[in-house]
Amino acid sequence: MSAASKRLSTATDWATALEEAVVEHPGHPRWLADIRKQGRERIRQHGFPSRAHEEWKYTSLAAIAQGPYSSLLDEGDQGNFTTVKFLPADGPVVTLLNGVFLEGSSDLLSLPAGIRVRPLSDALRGDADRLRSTLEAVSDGEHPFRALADATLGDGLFIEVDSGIGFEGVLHVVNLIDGGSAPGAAHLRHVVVVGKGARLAIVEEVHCHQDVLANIHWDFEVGEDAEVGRVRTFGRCADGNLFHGSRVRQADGSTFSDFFHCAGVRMIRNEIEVELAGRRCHTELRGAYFATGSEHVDNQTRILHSHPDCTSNEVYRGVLSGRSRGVFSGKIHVFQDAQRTDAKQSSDSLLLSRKAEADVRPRLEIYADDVRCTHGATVGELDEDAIFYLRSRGVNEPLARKMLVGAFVKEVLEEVEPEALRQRLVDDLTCGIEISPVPEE
Amino acid sequence: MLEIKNLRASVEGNEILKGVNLRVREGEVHAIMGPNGSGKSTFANVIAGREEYQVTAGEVRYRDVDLLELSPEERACEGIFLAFQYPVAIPGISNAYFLRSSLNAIRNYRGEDEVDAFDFLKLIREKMKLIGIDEKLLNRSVNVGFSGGEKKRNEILQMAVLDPRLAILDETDSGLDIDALRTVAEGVNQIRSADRAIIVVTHYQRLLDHIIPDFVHVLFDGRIVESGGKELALRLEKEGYGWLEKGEETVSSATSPEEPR
Repeated sequence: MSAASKRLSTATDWATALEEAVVEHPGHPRWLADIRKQGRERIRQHGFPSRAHEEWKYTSLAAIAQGPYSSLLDEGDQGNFTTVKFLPADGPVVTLLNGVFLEGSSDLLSLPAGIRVRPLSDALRGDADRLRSTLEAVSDGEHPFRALADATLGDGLFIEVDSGIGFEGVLHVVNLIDGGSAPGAAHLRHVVVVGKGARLAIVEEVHCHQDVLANIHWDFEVGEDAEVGRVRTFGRCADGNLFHGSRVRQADGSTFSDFFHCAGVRMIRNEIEVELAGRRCHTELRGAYFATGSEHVDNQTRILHSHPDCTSNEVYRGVLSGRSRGVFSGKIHVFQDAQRTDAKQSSDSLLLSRKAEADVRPRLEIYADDVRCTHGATVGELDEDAIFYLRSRGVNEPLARKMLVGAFVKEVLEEVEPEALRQRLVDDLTCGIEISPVPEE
Repeated sequence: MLEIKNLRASVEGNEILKGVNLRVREGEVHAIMGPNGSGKSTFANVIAGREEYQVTAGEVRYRDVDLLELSPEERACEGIFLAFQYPVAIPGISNAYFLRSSLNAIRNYRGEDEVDAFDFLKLIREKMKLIGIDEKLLNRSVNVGFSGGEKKRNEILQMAVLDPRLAILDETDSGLDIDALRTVAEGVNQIRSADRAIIVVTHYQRLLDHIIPDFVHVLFDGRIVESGGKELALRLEKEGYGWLEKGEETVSSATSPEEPR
């Protein structure tokens, strides 16, 4: 296969469009302009990969490449989100609309001293050098959404937690993406640096309105013995295309946990890469999703065990109805030095219709000899015996199906706290079941 | 309460019930006995509404409605309860959640208020004590990792909580040791009342030592070939089912390898 046929040629105008759209701010450092320029060059050179590209086998980017997303969204209208049922939150909240900080809808007063949450663009004007190594380090090659994020770098958050700060609350991050007046894309970059022994819990929710491309990237630096947890949920984005990427680097003794949750998103590519760059780290990646109609959920996880004595656990569960498609591709790379690694991975899919499809690809590469790596994948249907059992006790068929689906996904979310949030997440995954109970023939 | 006329039913094109007639009145306990493959479980499942069983002919009236027109959940809400021969394990749904959902579904159907968590716990603890079930099973997933005896007791617990008008026990005695058999029978005897009917489907007579039936029917090759009082069960115990086969042309159908579930 030639290199050219692995690309979609339609993306060449993107770089030009972004060059015009992204305005260099006089207060920003010179290297920022360089990162943006390199991003444009990469998108110009590589464009969007076609499905012939191994990493994009199950997800077509043709519609995105040809769509109206080379233009950037305007400031957006918060009024388009009044019907959204936001998650319960009783701590600090930061709200962004199309990447721009909304002061009126944010409340950061309850953040303890030692935790700073700022718009990335502000941070880039101030102590920008702190960010430089992080932002430069993650720029890489052919990835189209990374390139786009670099080309537009500036919107998003910079979150810092000083060493030893143990925040027991939850920082709530709301990303609103509005294509109400004209379709287009928003590119966001959130940078999180958590110091030694610190603790941070984040709940991120993303809501899209109308035809948009939301391109959201998170970079986490997790310090020694630090503990970072994130729950991310994607509300109804019936017309949204989402790319949600995370890169995590963990130092000695740290813990990172991530709960991916989505229901009702037209197209999402969820990529997370965690490098266990220290000893005795633990990573927990969990995901639960529901897709129906022609929705598409593509999950790509990569765990890089580069140091000894680390553990990781991945559990993803998808419920697929209609003609939807769910993808799970999980890579675990155990480097030669990473002795006594204990890595577990499991991916289970529940098909509620015969036209739904699940594609599962566990990819284990192990170069150390004293390791324990296990993976398992199942694709199944609802247990008809269990449905009849429930019905024979008086529970109607739609509710029986809903209960069984709830049971299937609940296990993945059982460590999510508080319980009200967990129950809400389970409800979001199962609320569509009762409406479309009968599997298609 | 239940009137069955010439009921015929098939599974995957094989006719299993070949014209069953039966009448059950309030307050009565009927035992349906028969060898493996005679159609006992099919009978129980047809009454509960299992859709894999196609009713091809006949009539089933239950409290003056056409039972065959009702969905399984409607039948349950109308007061029919089937204790399963093979209770289903449901990972991720706790016994308590399962039972409360069932109870509230039935109460909703009957226009009664749902029971809240507090009242439900009170009710279920009382019933568990009665049936001798460990309270720990309440928060465990339905039938997951339960022993054979625990599963059957769990069926009886469900029956006690859901308070049916017509209870059908499908081989509830199979796989039980004598103690479990006794508690299961006690559970059944406790719900025996003048306005409730019970059908005990069993291969062996031993359960009927503890649950004394008013009537015993012998199901053979899809038909009830003999009916009588409790003494009929004793005769079957002594003589087996062999005497039924004499004069039958299709002996093989009575010894077909697997009784459909």
